[in-house]
Amino acid sequence: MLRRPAPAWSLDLRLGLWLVLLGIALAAAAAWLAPGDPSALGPTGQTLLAPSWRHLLGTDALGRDVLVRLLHGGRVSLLVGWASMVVATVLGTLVGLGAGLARRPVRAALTAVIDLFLAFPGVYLVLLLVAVSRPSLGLLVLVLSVSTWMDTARLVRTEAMALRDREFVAAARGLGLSAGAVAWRHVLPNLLPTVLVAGALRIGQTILVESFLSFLGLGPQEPLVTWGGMIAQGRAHLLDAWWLTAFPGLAIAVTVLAYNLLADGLRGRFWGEGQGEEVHGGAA
Amino acid sequence: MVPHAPVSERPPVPRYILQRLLHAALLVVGLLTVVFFLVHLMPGDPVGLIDEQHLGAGGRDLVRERLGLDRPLLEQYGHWLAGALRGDFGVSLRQQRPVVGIIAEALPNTLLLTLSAFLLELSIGVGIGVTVARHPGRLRSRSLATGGLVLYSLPSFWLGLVAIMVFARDLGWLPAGGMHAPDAAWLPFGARGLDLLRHLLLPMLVLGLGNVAVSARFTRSSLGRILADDWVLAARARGVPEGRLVWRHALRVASLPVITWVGFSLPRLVGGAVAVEEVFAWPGLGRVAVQALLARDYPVIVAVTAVVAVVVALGGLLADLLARWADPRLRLDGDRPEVR
Amino acid sequence: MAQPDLLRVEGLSVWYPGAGRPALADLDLAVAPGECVAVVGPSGSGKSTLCRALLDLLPPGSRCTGRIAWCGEDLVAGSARWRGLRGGALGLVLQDHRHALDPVRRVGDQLDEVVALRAPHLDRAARRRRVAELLAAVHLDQVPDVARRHAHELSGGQRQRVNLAATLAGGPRLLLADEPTTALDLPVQREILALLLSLVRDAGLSLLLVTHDRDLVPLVADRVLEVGAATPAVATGTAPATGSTVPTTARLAARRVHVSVASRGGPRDVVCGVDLELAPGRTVGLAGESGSGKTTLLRALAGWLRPRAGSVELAGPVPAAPAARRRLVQLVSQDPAAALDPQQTVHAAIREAASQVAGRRDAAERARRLLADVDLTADLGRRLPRELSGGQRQRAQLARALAVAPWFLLADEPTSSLDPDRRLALLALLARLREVHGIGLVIASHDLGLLAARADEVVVMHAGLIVERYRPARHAEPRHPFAAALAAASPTRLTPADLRLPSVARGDTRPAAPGRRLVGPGCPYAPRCPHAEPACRTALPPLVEETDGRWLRCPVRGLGAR
Repeated sequence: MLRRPAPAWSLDLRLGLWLVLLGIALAAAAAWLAPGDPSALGPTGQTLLAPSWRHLLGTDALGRDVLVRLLHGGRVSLLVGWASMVVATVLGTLVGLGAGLARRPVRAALTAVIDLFLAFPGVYLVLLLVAVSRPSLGLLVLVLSVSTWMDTARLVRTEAMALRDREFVAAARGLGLSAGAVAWRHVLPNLLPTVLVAGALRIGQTILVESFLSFLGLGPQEPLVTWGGMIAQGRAHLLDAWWLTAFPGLAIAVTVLAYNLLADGLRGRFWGEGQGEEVHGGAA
Repeated sequence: MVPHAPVSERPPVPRYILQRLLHAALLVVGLLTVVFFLVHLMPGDPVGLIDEQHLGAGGRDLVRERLGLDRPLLEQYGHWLAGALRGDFGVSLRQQRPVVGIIAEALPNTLLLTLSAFLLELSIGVGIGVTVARHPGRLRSRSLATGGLVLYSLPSFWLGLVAIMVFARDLGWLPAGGMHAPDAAWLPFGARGLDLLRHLLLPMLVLGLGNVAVSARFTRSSLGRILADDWVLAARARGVPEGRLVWRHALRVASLPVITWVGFSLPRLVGGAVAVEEVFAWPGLGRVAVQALLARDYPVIVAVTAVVAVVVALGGLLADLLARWADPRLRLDGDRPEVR
Repeated sequence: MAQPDLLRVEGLSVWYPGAGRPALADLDLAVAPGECVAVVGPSGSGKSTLCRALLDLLPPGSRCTGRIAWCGEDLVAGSARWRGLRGGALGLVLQDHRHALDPVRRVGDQLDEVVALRAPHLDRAARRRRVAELLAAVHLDQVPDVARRHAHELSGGQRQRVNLAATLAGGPRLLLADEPTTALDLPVQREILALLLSLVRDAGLSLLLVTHDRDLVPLVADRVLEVGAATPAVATGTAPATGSTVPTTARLAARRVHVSVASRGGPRDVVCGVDLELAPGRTVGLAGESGSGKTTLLRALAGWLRPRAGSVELAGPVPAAPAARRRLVQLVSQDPAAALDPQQTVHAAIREAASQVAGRRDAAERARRLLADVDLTADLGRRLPRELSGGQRQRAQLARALAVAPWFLLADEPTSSLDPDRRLALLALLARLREVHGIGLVIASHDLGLLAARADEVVVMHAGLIVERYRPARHAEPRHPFAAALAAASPTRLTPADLRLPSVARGDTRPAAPGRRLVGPGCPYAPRCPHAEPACRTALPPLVEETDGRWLRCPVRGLGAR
């Protein structure tokens, strides 16, 4: 009854949004900020240098500047994260809408498909699909989308079903609108907050999975730079060159945090503080 | 005339269990089907990816024949389904022994790590969740919530590496990986348990702490909803002290859906363990999967994925059954909200 | 005269966190011992806020200025003194009985806890005796095993009695009753109110009754305090400019309609074989308690629900397309907030509806005129539903229904979301629509008095059955015992005697959720009926036409009886 009014632009939302935009800007400007091939070997004698004014974040075992590689690595992570989010969200929303609103046999079939996919821990699906096909960047996006769309689908389905029982949807049917028009004009717009919050979270989670794959050497291959790959290369120098592991890890963490903050902020803006946690895979 | 609506209007339990068992059987077949078709419909050739050194005499064609990849798709599917339902997932290309044995060894280790990490996550997460729900907007709540979110954003494989660097290499307090010391087999029983605990501690901490935010959120949202309920206001107005209200009453109501939630969280928990197992060389299913993947041991990775999905799905069904048995209100949920 | 006031409030203002406008502004109030004070005002005027402020239970972050004194002693926010009063000398009875009890603990345990808090020295047996006393004080002692039940196993009236018992456990000197009867059926409301008053008077307590129902006030209160400025009523202006005339041959008929809804024990009929015929230009009043099947019947008539058996037929020059047929019968929902899409502005919603019968440009024009017809300004039209008041939303919903030029308009409790001042205006608007366009009208309400004054025919429903149909113009009073009870409970008819009579002595032993068991062989009203005879419990009486032209489902009260 007395819901706490949430500020429109909470600290979470502002911070998350700024970090997200900053990340995109840095990735977009990487070629301009640090021209040249980030994978080309550095000059001899420049290997494993600790952070200094010349190399702010140090150099790796091949004498390459860590900061330069970090900037370029962000491009892969963000590209993969955003692209698979878009594919997974579109797929998940369509299947979820169908599973929530279509006629009974279609609805039951789509629900069964969602439930089957939900039983798979996403990482195992990714590993399975990577085992079958060594991914190019495009295939990687496909693999990650196929492994994650069901979360969105479940949320959309639950909400579409709740909306279907709401009076305004019945009223819209009663006014003579077709089923498609009702889904498009009355159900989908009311789903949008859920889809947006889930999408923001999805990007962060996908970046985590992608970096783990790259860490295993199963992600995008050289000459593409990836943060996970950089951590893997630094693993051999854990003791003598901490900066090789630390900075890519922090880069991943800050990026993922940015999207999580954005999701939290959006959640607060849409539903008020502490509401709508279901999107987080929280309450069943 | 019955004086009030009887409570026991839910369907009789045996029928319900029967329904669930049928559901479970269908689920298993469905999951095996999904795995099969995903593998075969993805573009790419698993055998083509195998390194030459792992191939025996006869090369790729022989492997294809052994895996049955040269036969028609539907025949392969029937063969796979029949084998899998009997527990026969073929033979590992690398280890040359039945895949079932490999999985049977690794599954308990994964469950041990996953569940202990989950208990850790839950005990810290509930504490944070209660604080945040009771004092929304306070500095302490905000920093706890933000701390959880930061931990949640860290890549667990990286956090594992950092933990190894600090606690195993630099400080030397705990072992860097594995599940037992090399000489563990000769130790007395108690010391062996302690040894296992020392090995478990780091991976459990990394996995559990990373997910504290999830439990905290769950607690916060269910408790927050309940604290906003009218009966809580009524209890306050009757003079029930705040601490008692939260810990004895509200949390009890909030904890009822927790069983359902655990079942629901299984995929997240098991999936999250993969990276941690890999970094800490913990001999669980995740490590088996990753190692098989790196060696292009195709039958193993397929089988592990299928088994994990089946275990997780059956666990979810079990949780659902338990929840129904434990929560008096789920009986009511069968009833559609009454039309006023 | 030197006796100090029990409670004294001076210049109380409350702001919720983040809100610019105070929820309650500069309020003065005094309650003397043994006095009953009513606080009246429309919804949103800060009545509930007052209750929370008096108990020091405002949400965290709220700001509160002014002075609250108890027996001449100033109360300090957050003090132990105030906390000690809460649940002790200061008791609260909440508005919504459905949510005011812990859902998972037994009623007896909840009472036991409060007793233990107030009297820690009592042992278990003594506490149990005290709980039994409390239950007896609210006339629940005749309900078997009431202490061992959960909240959901009680009826609304029973739950509200338990709340009252829990409040009494603290030994209050002042009861704050926040709309204690709103969510209940009218006869139950009367019982609860009578119980509340008898408790207050017998024990010499003071009562602060918060209500929006002005009809009640003179019956209960020694003094009245108005909060919130009354907003001007809807102008009953000129005839609506929009709409087309309904063909005189149009008929909407329900034939032996059964509607079932899913429930725990399988599908259950909530409407059981209803016949009804509607004609243009006529008003049918549908009366019944909540749970009697009114809403379900209206939904079936509007085509939102499919009857399990029987049929709903629309006759006249009906178009062939199903979508076009659907729009000829429009339902105006009881809850306008739920019936409007939350992310669509009012104007857009009406325009969307209008575009079903008109071209794009005409639709916009039509929407503008409809807004004016229901007295909404263009500025209000640009707002989202949540930015409107309940009455504005109700009128927006009405305009949207009219936009598709319906033949029949079904209004489900159209006035329940409105403050009393606005109810008459909305009913007048409906009457105008009927006169000008010849729309056939159904108004569903639990207030039989209100319907009798406005409808050509009144249909009384109970437990999914029609129990009586009569014409108010011809038959002065309903005859069926249930209909008579409903008529007597109409707020417009209440007399002080109704509330002072110990009509509650028999207690509320009714089953939870009336209308739940419709399968029993007898008349569903028999368990509550003062005229019931043994035969009533064994066979369902038929609905028969009496010699005076009314239809009645009661052999005992019928003219042919005896």
